[in-house]
Amino acid sequence: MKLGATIFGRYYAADSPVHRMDPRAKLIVALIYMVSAVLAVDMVGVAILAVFTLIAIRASHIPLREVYNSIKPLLFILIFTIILNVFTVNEGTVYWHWGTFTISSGGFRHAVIFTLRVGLMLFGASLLTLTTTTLELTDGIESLLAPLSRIGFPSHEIAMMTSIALRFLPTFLDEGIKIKRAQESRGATFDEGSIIQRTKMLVPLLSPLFASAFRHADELSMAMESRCYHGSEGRTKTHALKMGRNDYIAFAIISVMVILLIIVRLQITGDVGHPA
Amino acid sequence: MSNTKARMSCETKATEGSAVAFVHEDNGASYEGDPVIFNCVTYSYDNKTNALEDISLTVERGQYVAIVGGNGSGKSTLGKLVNALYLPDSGTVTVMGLTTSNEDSVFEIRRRAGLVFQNPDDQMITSLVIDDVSFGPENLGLPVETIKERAAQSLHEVGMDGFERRETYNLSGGQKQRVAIAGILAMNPDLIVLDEPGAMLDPRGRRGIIRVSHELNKAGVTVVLITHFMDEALLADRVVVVDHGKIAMDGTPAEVFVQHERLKELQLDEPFAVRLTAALRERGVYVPYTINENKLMEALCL
Amino acid sequence: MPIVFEHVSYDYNYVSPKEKKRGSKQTDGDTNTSAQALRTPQALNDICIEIPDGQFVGIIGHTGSGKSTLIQHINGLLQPTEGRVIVEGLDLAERANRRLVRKHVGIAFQYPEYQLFATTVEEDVSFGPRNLGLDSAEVDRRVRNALERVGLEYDLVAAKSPFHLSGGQQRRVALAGILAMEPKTLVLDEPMAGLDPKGRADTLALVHRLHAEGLTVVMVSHSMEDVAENAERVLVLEHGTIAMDGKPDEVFSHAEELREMGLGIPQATKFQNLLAKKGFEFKEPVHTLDDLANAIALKLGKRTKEEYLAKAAQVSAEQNETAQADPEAQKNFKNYSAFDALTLEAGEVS
Repeated sequence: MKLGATIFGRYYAADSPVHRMDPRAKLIVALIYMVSAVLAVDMVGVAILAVFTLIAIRASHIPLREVYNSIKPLLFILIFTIILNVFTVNEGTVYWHWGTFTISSGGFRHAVIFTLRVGLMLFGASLLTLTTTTLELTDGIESLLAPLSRIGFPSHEIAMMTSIALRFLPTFLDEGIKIKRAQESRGATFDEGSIIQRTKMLVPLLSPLFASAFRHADELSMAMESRCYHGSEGRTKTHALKMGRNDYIAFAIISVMVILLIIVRLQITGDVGHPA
Repeated sequence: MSNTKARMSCETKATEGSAVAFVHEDNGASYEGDPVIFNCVTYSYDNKTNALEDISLTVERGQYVAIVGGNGSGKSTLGKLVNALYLPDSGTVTVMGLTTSNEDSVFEIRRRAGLVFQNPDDQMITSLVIDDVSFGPENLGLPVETIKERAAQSLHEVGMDGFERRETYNLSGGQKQRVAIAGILAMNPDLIVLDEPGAMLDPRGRRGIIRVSHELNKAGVTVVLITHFMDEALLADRVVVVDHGKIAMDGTPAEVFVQHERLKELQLDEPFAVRLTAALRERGVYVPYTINENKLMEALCL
Repeated sequence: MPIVFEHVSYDYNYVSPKEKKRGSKQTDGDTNTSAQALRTPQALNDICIEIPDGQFVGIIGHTGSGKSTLIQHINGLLQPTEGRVIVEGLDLAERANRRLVRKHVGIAFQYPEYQLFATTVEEDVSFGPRNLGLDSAEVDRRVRNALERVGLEYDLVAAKSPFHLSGGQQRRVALAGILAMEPKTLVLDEPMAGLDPKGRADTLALVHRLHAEGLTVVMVSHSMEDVAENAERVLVLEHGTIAMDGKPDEVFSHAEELREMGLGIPQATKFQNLLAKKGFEFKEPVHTLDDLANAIALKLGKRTKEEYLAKAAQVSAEQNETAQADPEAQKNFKNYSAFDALTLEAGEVS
């Protein structure tokens, strides 16, 4: 019944090695993954990325379809990348040309690789939120930022805000849909008309959503206060963070992936013979 | 009416104030006297119109009190004053012997007098049920083992065993409210204030919450239920009707709800038996006023 | 022209058959909030209904039964995966018709005040008419008319920010925003939710008035009383199908089935059934308090206070006698004189 509710930022309950990982380790691994994805500039690199992403999804015991559903609303980013690449990259055989817009074979190749790469990165990021509860995420971020709090950086507050934002994401999405339908019932159209008309139509959509966000924020802050929340001081951390076997295995795997990507990357630059 | 303290004028009350002595121990386990005392409390949101005016009210230990009134009557403000979310402009609110305006007591007051709000969504602070129930005790800095025990126990008390690893977002409104109550129980409170807990629920969810509140009351927790549903108020030990920031009526449900004319004046719902009695009298059939449907049936079968 | 549902089925498209089985099991004990129901609507299964012009239809069913999905089909916000919806002669399978139908059908979702967006009441209420592309004189006329219909004074509220009004007034403004479309059908999802008794009574009176003006009204409600007292026809939804469809009398006579669905019956009907068990005879079932009072008055005839007290004293004395004779009865002894009207009015009975 609630399967459609799988969206980015949602937690998917399961008992898997990935779920059991230390959130700090997970955050670091995810960060490494994101950064090293940049190294995948050809099909081999993308394939390596894909294999490791699949391994991670497999290890998380989450059906591939669920992960896909969770990034589905973000697919427009992919479409955007495709269009951007197809039109702006001018390499190899040129098929079509108009002003600054050029469609070339190189453009297509770039588009495909770029899209796959961004898609895989979304999968990876989604896996992080699917396997990590907001509280674990809070604890993880807070702990990683802890050194900074010594110089006055609000690491606990930032972590708490991130966690609450993730918690309320689905609530806002629901409300957004409801408001959109309510305005549509009053004859509003959101997918027709000029850019100006469409931009104007954002007001009846966003204004109630902001009002609702303020309402939620107000009530939530009271609910937190009434439950004795007073910042990080003296607050118990129920989930003692401890790196374990799972985390070291994850570090090992991600290291292998990074090394592979670097090797492939070096080979490309070596073969083709021009600097990266 | 039953509660003489509440009906005493503020002048008399003020002189007698010293008669009640409180002993508060730092471990927080015991206190003497009544759990909640409003002494001539006035509160205003905007310094122009008073949301509450000169309220004096005492909730007795172990009591189940329903605070009834329309929207804007000031009833929700009462709840927030108990929890020290609001501080009175004048007068004092004393909770378990601690004055809410004393900054050092606020933390202890909130631990011992939990507040459940109307909107179930806005009380789910984390995405996992177990994390949410642990939120309060974590803020209290309790040891991890104690938190785990209390969280499990609290979820059991509200009938939500087995929901530990569920996402708060995917629960029904009624289930969310139960989790919210469990989150407060985990702080081991002596008193719970429920601020229109059923207003956004369907009838089934609402019934469930009211049932839980009565179970807690039987277990010794003082309950203050703020509501505009008369069927909920009928089950209380005592009903306090608030109107335009003042206490309009105070007594047992039977005392309050048989007053057909007065309730009409205050634009409040009436119990079914009272409404039927009024309708019968309009039709020339005399029956005495009662809130009890069985009694009414007996009277009709005479 | 009527609203027609022809074999309408709706299946939320993300859900594969295997997953659906898992999901439907959950539905029984675990219900969605209405907001969630928007994103993951409950399925509908082979719904066939026809709502003639001017009818007042009450829809009942517990959370997750598909009520919200059903009403969103009436103005084409959702489209059936099978079957057809025809409103005002418009087949809503056509995209253009789905836009046209919004002129004829207004939907007020739960807590409609949460869709208010404009800086003034005037601007907000005029949103609908402006979307219809009407000229400013007509827009103005409609705004004034709509505000008047919901019982708000144009001069007092038009220039105000809707966010500065009370909750009850905000709801009226939201309803005015829908009425400004001048729809023939008004669909209301729990219009009284979250209101206090006065707000509920006012809103119900408003809906009643609109129906009297000739509007077709479809009202989803959890309150059996509100449905019994207002609707001419009751639809009972369960698991996405129409479980019952009939006059309130017919539907509420199936107390047992309704209970099994997690629904209740009106208090008046409940009370009548209990009275009947005590040997009180009724000619026909009632479902509103007024009808119940009429039926009882008809049966008992007029009775003054004195007559009642005399009767009570008599019964009390009789019981006293039997009680003294029979020690067993003494335990169950009900002293009717304690039921004395005078003490009652002083508030002594619990």
